[in-house]
Amino acid sequence: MNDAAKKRMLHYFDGTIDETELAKLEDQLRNDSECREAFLGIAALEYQLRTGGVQTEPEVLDVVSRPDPMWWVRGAGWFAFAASILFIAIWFRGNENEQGIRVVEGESRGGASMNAGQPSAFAQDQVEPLLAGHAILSQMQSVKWVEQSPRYEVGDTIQRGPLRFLEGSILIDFFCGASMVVEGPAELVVLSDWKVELQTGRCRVLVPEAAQGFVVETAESEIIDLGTEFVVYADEDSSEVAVVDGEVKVKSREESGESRLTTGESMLLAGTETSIDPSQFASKQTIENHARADTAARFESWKRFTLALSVDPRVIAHFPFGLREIRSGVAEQRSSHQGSSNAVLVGKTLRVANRFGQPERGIELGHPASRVRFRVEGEFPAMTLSCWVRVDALNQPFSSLVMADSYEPGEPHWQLSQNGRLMLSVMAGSELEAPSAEGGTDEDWVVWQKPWHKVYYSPVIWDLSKSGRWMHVVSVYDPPRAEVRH
Amino acid sequence: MAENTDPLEAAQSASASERLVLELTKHDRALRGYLFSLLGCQNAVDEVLQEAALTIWRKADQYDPGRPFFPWAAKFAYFKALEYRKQNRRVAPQLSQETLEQILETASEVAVESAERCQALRHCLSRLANDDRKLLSERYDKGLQVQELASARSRSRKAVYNRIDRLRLKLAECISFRMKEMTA
Repeated sequence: MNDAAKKRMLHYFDGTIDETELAKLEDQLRNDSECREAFLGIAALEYQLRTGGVQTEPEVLDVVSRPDPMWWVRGAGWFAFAASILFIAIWFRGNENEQGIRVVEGESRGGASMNAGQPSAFAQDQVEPLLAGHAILSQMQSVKWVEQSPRYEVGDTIQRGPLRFLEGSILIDFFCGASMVVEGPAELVVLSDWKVELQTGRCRVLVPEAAQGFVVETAESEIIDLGTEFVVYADEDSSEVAVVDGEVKVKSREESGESRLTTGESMLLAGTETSIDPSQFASKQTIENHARADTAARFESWKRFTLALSVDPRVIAHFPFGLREIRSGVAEQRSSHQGSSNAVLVGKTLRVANRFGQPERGIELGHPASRVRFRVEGEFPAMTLSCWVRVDALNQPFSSLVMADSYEPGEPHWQLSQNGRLMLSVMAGSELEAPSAEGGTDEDWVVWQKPWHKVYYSPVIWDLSKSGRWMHVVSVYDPPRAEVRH
Repeated sequence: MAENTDPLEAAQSASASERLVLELTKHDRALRGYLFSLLGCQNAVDEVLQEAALTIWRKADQYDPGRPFFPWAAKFAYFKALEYRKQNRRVAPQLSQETLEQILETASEVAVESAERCQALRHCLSRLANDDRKLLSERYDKGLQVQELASARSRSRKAVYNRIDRLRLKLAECISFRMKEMTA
């Protein structure tokens, strides 16, 4: 088969084929099975290219776009949720037996009478939260942590202390503005917003003007940045620094005096044999490109998983926001459950990037009246609630994930408390006194209560260090097994 | 609360009815590629596959696990695609139903291993020159028009269009060769 025939196929998919060429294509497809096979191959290729296939090759990608940091979840009442994906697997209603329910990884509270006034205990939490740490782990590529090292994930705040990994690369953004790409095997100690000690490993440091004075220490020297980009190599016997652009000051720990290095210059700090080539050091671009390729692969995996969910008969409501751009005020409900409706976006609901960085595929609920409203009908013996959510701040006592219109027997309220715990509260379906909570006290928290209502808390899952980071949260309410799990 | 492990792995332990979900997931990309050959529009693919998946689910009891899944599922996708075509007539010319039927037959005979196809595309893209990959990325990932690409390169629209055609043909040939290598 010649190229002209294949080009006809490409133009067919481009929508630029004319009637004459289409007739030729049709004729070939009817009479030649090889041609049909090629047609299927080209269709698959074109589909791959149109759905992010080129992104699988990191070399062609640009810098990863960062999510908008000013995003938070709030809102109360009805069904309000803030998520890239949310599916409710099973809803229950009615005849649950709450006696003896146990809580896995959390605690339950309940049984108190309703507190109609403002819960006074909130006052105890009115302390300005502080973000402990000196930097953010912005990207990570194939990192294998040493067993004794803290294991950070992308988006985590890095505390003062050591970081050790055997292989892979990480990108650290210090709060002072300096960035550092470190390649393993590496051992380093983060000392402050402005200072890091490189014990072994290779790093590239980028220091913008605002972060001039950033210091990299080695066993023998202190490298003080004067507005530049430089690389440092260190192992047990030797260390060396080379300036890629700008200027650094090098001070020996043992000898007085200091040296200044400018663009293209390098200096042996210890040992006798090293000779570093800055072009061989990983750059910020390299690690970000790899991260983007990883993200594209994860998106594909999530997409496949989402399709499976949509046809899973156990799923009764499913809103895969990230699947495509949200074009109108309606979020498509994709489960096959007959009693579930599409959702309506109510109030100020901005369309933002999802957790894969794709624009217009997430919903920002930034106002107390913002919500995504939907309807589910049916009675179920147990339920699982699951969503991807990004929380930038918890400014209200309760931030809704999923709320029923009212709080009648069998209806759940799924929220985040201001101290960063998941709360699944359920109104019991009988007048039986709800069992008192095991463990925990009410000293640090008061929740408004109805006589038979129960609240099941998770441990703290969110604090300021997780601001802006996507989390997958799940709660399971399973009366037949007498279990609640977060 | 960490990200889920691979959903395919999780589904390994699934019951008989859930095995269908596993099969659907496994053949998702292949079905999409096939539907694209019928519809030529990725948004339509999403919509039709959703419909087809529901039908497949409802007909689960008719599926014989001893037989290949793709040909069985592709038939449902084919009929859903025909329905879609009836309801959404494109302005651009379309292939006849008779031809689509023949394509279904071929698709059912050819084992389209989508995971291998992805690997092959990755490999073949890596063999293109940086400028060529950039051109494809700007066209497909960023969605730039051929005219915009041409202006940025001080080339004619036709020259850029031809270049993109040549690159796609090169990729198609490379993938075909690569897949034969992988299955050999």
